[in-house]
Amino acid sequence: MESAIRTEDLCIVYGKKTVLQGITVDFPKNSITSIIGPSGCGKTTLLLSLDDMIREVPDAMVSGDVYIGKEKTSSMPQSELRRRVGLVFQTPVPFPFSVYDNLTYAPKYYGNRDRKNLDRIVREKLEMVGLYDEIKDDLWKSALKFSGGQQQRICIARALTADPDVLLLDEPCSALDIKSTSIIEETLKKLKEKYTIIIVTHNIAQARRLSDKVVFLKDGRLIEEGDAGTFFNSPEHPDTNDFLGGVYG
Amino acid sequence: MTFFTMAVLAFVIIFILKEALPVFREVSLIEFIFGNEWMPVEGIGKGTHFGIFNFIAATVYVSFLAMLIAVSVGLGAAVYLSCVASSRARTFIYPFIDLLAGIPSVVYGFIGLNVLVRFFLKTGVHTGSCVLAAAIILSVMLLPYLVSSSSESLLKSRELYLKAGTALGVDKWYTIASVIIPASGKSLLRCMILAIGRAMGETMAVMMVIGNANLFPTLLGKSESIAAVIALEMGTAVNGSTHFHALYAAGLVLIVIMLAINFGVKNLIKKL
Amino acid sequence: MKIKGLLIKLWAYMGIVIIFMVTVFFFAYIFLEGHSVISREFIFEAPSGMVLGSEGGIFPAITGSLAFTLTAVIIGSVPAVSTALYVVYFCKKSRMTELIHTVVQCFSGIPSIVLGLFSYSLFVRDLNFGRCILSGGIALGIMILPFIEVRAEKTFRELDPAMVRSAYALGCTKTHTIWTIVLPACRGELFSGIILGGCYAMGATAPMIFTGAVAYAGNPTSLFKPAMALPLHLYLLVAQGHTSLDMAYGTAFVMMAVILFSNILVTIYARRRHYTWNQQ
Repeated sequence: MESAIRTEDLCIVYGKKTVLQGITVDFPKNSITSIIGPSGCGKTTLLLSLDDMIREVPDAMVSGDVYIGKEKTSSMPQSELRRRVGLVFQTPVPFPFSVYDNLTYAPKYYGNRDRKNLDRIVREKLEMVGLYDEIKDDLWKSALKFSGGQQQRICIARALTADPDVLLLDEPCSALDIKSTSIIEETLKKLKEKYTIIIVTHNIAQARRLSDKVVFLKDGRLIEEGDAGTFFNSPEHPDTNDFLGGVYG
Repeated sequence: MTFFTMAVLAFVIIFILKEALPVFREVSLIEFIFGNEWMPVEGIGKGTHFGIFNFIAATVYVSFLAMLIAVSVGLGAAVYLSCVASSRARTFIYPFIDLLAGIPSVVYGFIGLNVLVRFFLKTGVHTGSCVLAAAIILSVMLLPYLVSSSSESLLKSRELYLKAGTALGVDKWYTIASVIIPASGKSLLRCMILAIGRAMGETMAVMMVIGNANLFPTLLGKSESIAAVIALEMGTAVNGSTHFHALYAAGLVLIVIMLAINFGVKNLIKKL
Repeated sequence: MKIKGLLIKLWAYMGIVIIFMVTVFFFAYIFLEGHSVISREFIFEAPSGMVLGSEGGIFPAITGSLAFTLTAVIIGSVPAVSTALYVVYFCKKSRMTELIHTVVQCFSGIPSIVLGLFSYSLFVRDLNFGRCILSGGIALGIMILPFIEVRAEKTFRELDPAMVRSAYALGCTKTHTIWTIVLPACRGELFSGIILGGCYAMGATAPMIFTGAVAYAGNPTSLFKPAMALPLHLYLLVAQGHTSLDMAYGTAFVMMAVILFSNILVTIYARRRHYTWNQQ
């Protein structure tokens, strides 16, 4: 399958500690790839490096390359890269203004000032996360007043307003209850028709429910990657077996 | 902007150094620090003397005394705030303590003069102004800093240990005494150091109640702190004279003492 | 070992009670002794009398103090907030952060009187500004700079980094993010920090004794003229002895009232914001 984003020999060092070592992996287009592994294995670091967000971490040193399609991200302007890659965090973090302002924040930044156009974007993106009917009367309410699950979906919708190709999610459900989790999972399954989705999760069951491809990391190294069916049913590496069997993690 | 700020700050330090150093052309460092005669303007055939030992002693003496009083009250209050008070009560008490921090030092001095000094006068201390009065007033000024910073660090270790302690069936107060306070010992020490720094630099309140006489500090006697000397004599010192540079040097000595205590204790904490 | 726990308990309750009493005593004392002096004339008239200040009011001192405080707040808060922003959002080397922290810490350690001395010799003497609001304001500004910086930095660090990164992830530049997300979200805390810094500057006497504040002057009209200031006025009244003791109480009353008022303002403001933030 065609790859949307791909890393080549990616190494990341924080101060003196090596966090990722020689990661070469590709993420296929229009599918959901899960990154799993025990805590501290570098899952989040890998995700952040795809969006160049790793530069915001103090003392982080990066070597190796990341490609979007055929382009090297390091030769791309940072804002262009970040526009093409959306990012959603572990805890829902709406900006402290209304839902409408949250969703128009990025379009306005890119010079979109036409009211009708903005209305359309808000509606379209909220529909994508299945939230429009639920909250269409409360668009001017502070985004902080919604439930955790709704806030997280607002954040996903907000990430989509920059029209990315790739959507990165860092344990998006770990702060939410089961019901909100399953709504978000459904949303993601729908979204993969239009976007490439990469999700970090520590929930193996979730990875099994969602993913088309799985990437397994341990101690900063890539242990195994592959098609979800094969990965869960017949893992090749003993470490993967231990992990799935619950020996550690 | 940051570099501008840093540059300004560095400039201030260099400026102080530049103004302070000329004094050592006339007075040796040892004489300056350990001499106890301060005669900045030539008297009748006596010559000038610049020795600030008494001032240093007074500054240190007053500060540590104030610290002692403040810790004995403030730490108790911090324990109360961090371990007894509900979070609702805390949101009421913290602003209250901030209020104490907001009172201008002149007002402290004023109250000290009208209440403490009068009290000491009645109990028979000559003129009433004394080191103890200054220390008491200073300790009240230190209280808010001490309480808010130390209750913050106590709160952290309370969250870690109190539940574990009570889960063992141990009395809450016993856990506080035997686990929580020792566990935050280091950060409590750090809070005290910050407070000491404040105490040493305080000018007005101390100046108004300490009596301002160049004497070696005793509990009920008059004395004079470094900061007070500078404040009192800055206006009369002739520009560029040795006297003027000596005041700068006194300020420098004050800064050096504070920094030395600060960094000394920091390293000590690291080693512990 | 029950005794140990009991002692601590006693100590804790005593500590809080003593603090409570001391605070109440300070305010009550000044308010009780000072309220009789307060009148329209006292607030709005200039000091007069054979011994200056024994009659009349303190209006020029109030306006002078305001002028000093404003100057100090402007001079102190802008670099303080930008330094805090730099440290939190732009500085990528932890060594650099440490260096800046050390410098700021050294600065908060410099006694205010030494800052006064510095400003006196640099601005009043070398640059020939003379005693004026600007020279005093700069000394006060440098004094409150570390105070505001520490608070601002704490506020920025407490802001969820994921929120800031979300804005970056949408492709926004740091500057844009700071203007549209960080500063609005931290507005309340920054505001309280600056107000408290202002109070601190208003109450400080040492840095302005010889740099800008004088015993008698009219209302401030220019940055390059000296002015009166409440704390110095109080100090001088006290130094004059019993003739002006009542006036001294009155002056202290006004200062305490200002402090009380701004603290209440800050507390209410902070609590309201806290409330709206935590409401989900």
